[in-house]
Amino acid sequence: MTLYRMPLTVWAWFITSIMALTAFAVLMPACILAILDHVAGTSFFVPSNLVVSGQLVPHSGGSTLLWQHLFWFFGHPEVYIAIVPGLGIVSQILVTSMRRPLLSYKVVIGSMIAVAFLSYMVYGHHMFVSGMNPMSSIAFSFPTLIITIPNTIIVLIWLGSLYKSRLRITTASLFALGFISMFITGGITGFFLAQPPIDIMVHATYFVVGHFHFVMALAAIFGIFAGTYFWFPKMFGRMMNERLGKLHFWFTFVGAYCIFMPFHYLGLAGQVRRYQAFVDDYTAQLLPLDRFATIAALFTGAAQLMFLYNLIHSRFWGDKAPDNPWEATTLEWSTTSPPPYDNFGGRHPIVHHDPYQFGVQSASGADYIMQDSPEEDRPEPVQTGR
Amino acid sequence: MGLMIPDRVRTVRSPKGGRVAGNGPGYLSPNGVSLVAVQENAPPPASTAIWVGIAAIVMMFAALTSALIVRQGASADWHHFVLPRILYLNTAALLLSSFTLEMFSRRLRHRAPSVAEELRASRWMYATLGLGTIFVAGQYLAWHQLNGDGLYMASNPSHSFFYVLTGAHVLHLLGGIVALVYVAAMLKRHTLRRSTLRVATRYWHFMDVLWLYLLGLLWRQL
Repeated sequence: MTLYRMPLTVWAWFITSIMALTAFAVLMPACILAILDHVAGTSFFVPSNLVVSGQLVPHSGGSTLLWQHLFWFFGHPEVYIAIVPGLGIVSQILVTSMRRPLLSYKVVIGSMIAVAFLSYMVYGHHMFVSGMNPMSSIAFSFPTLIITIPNTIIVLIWLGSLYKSRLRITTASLFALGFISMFITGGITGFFLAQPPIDIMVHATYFVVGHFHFVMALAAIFGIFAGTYFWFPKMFGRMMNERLGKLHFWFTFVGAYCIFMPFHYLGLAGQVRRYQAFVDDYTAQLLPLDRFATIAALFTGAAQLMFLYNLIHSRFWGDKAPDNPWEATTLEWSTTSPPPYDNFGGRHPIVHHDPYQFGVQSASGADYIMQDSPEEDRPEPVQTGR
Repeated sequence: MGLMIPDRVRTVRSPKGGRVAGNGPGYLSPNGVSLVAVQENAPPPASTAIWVGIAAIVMMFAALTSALIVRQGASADWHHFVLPRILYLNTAALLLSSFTLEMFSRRLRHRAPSVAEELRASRWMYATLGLGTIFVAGQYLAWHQLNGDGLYMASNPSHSFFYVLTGAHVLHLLGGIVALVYVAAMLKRHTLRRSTLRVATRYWHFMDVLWLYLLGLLWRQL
């Protein structure tokens, strides 16, 4: 195995680990300082003249903004810690379902590294209305707009590779497509929020809530579902029910849009976050839309019971899974389902290829070559429609 | 002769017994390619892991540094005070400990030492342990002295940062002392791995450099 023969999923986890390592190392000292403010009477973050429950707090001079800086220095990379594994999972599932390599493997890796690197420079976009120096807002707005470029490159590579491909529609590939949809929808509102003048208008409204649920929460969850349906046979040696899985996908996909799309309109209309009730004349008019989102959320939540049932039922009574049900090339599919003790049962797989030898004519007549197969690289390309 | 165990990957044993996935010497893959060569060229896992740890610690102290600078600029309540003199003695002890540790590890690193050589070299390591303990005790005295002067954890943000930064450093250094005690124990049993020694040495030097940085920071800002 070499770095450039690693599957994109593994690359994504590698990059995520580096981000997690450095980001959490900032959260911890911040939490220690916050704890000291509580138990040791220090004033790192607690400002002067703070009254809590009618009592003047004895601290003085602390900077609440400092807490925001430290928290978001962790908090923004954390967003990418949540989403980058999804980028890897989706790339892997798409390639396997399209039966052709991505337009560029190395550009996807480079873009993920660029996203990880830039994720440390954009955290101030959470703080445009915190009272921070407006010049800093511009300094954080610029890299926030720049970070869309590597993300857009990844999405365009997916879409370009999908163009005219004969995609195998499985539950996993549907969820991968759903991921792309959520990621684009959430990403587009990101362009608006990256600019301080617009963000000041919609900050702490449902517009922001809609944005980050699409781009982070939903996309990450779709990535998790895609990965679960894809690797479940390898994990447990049994297939998940595809019919039920597809039904689960459509309920979740439509449901997710029904819940979070109205949030954008609510936010633009001025409905703010974290209110317990909307009773004044103005916001009361928005209630029907809120009600719609709530009902959609209840339905979508209930639809997840299908997944739960599928998970438990397939684990014990699902069809027996073959070793390589998706005809994938990576190493995990070269072993039995589920894998034996130590994964390869004493065998040391030797990696001869990059993981994307699809659309080729292998010796056995298949359209793919496993990574551990000693066959020659791309012996003879076959027509796949491109 | 040859009492140090060279770096090698441990053999994995299956529950039923019998080697299944070891990369031990002479193991051949199905198509006959020796994996030992590959394994010997790869750095031992501990060597990578210590860089991972150092990266996390660097980030932690970078965060505390930026917190110090921002907090100092945030309001006009910063109290400047002179660092206790004992800190400079402690610094000398820590610098010396890096030197003695380097003397120790150089004696063992490059060739297979005899028992007598190991015994002679180990004196350098006990000197390192002693100097490390002196540093920790010295830091404790510095806190004690500041406390006597009425500089407490909560009396001023500059005092708070002094205690937090020195305290966090001492805690990490104690980890280094534990590592050195482990090295001593392994040496006594003649089962010290070169990678263990290398990793412990690297961490200890890092603690030294980190302290020099912290001393400069505290001297400048407090």
